[in-house]
Amino acid sequence: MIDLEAELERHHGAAFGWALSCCAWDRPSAEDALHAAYLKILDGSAVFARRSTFRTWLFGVIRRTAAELRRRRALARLLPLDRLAQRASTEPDPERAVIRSEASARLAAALAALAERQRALVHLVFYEDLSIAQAAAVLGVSVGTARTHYERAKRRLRDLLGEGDTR
Amino acid sequence: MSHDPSDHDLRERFAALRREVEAHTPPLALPEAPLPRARPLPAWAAAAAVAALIVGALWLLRGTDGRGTPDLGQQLLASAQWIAPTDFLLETPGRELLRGVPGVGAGPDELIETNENRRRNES
Repeated sequence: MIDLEAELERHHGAAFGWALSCCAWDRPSAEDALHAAYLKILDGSAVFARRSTFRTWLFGVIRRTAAELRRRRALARLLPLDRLAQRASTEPDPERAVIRSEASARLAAALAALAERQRALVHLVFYEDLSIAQAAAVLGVSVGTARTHYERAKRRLRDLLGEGDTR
Repeated sequence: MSHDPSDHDLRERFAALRREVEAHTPPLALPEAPLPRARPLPAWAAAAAVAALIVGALWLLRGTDGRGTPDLGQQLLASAQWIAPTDFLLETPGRELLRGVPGVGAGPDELIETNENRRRNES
């Protein structure tokens, strides 16, 4: 029997970074997604079936949960009342900012500009230090597809960071 | 995992980003005592439930058709013994006369083939 709380504690730092990536580096959305994912795991809606490592599975749950929240928000944005509430809640809060250095802010902005799958792949490989095969398992795609997106993502990221001509 | 040396610059950038994020990661706050959800039915329990349903359905089909009427087998048997309501029209008057072949010199009584006449003729 796996100790879920201990496992979540162990992977919390990486999970938060992954949630940020899934939410295009928006901290409030990432915290919501992470909380919802933990809730799913603890109440048994998401069950670890040991078909992969706990981290791979946890990242999959976070990715799906973030996508659900994103869809829900996109739907809610159609309502005018919600639009007002969202405007109030998206005020930047410097105290809660995750990234404070200019270099990291540039990287985060470049990552946010990538397509979702490309962002996920470079994050998993460079930030989480997963292999392309492990990243493919998290994203539920084939290794070949993951490799293609990964190469494109690297090129685009270098372009966005202004390093495209140096390579 | 072996890293591509040409990606060294990106790795350094991501390492710096990671350090910064980890420094501002909120402490783990697990949701308070979530109510355990009903677990999905195990495969063997689902199979047993389906088997029980099939057995129940067969038993119902065997006993009645669900409306309190006799079962299918009994209905088929009943229809095999069924007699058309117009059968009486075939009961024509004097049809006994047509069953026997009249003999020369036979009286009208002998034209009617009875069991007794047949036995007498055979002996």
